[in-house]
Amino acid sequence: MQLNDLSSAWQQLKLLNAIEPIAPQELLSIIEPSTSPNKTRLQRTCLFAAMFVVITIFCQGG
Amino acid sequence: MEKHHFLQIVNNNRGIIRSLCKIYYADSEDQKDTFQDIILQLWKSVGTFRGASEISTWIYRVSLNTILNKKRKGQRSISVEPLDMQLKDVQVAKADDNVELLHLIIQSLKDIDKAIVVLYLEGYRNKEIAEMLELSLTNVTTRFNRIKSQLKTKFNGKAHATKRS
Repeated sequence: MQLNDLSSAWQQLKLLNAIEPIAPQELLSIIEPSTSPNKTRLQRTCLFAAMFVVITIFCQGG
Repeated sequence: MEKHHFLQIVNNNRGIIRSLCKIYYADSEDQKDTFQDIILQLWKSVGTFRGASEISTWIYRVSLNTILNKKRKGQRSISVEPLDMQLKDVQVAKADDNVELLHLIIQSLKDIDKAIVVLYLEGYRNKEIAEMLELSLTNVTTRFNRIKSQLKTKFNGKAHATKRS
């Protein structure tokens, strides 16, 4: 037996597993939670920056 | 890359992703978890894809490295069912003797060796396989020669039996 003989089997397996399409909602539900932490991180960074500016001004007596 | 473009790419390559999940995990829950992990990794790394290679190459690279990392961490990686039971669960295997044989062969291999065989069957050369799996060329060549000799001794009889039945 040669491994090359199984190339067509691999192609066939891929085709069989591609018959059913993936619902966009299914994919979005996977990737969207990973998007929101980035937004939260950005919001947190902005908040820290604003606090830093206020504290700096306050400490300088301005 | 916009979301709808990403969704289209994933859908166009769903056969690859699902097949990889199925050859590494017998349990459907593990397959589902791994599928989600791969999609997430693809989404996270989509910004690094510059189009220097084929999209399918990028899909294979990210998918296989995600699976191998997961296996290394030992997350629900141990298949507890005997090989015969696994094969009974594989509905697609009944579609063709060669697909059944492919499952049988791949299930008998170590995790990295499975990846090497799949990429070989996809037509990649040893150098490309080494780059995709972040291994040395010598390592891939040595492993591949060992796989071929193992399969020769293990499956020659099985191949004949399957072809005849």
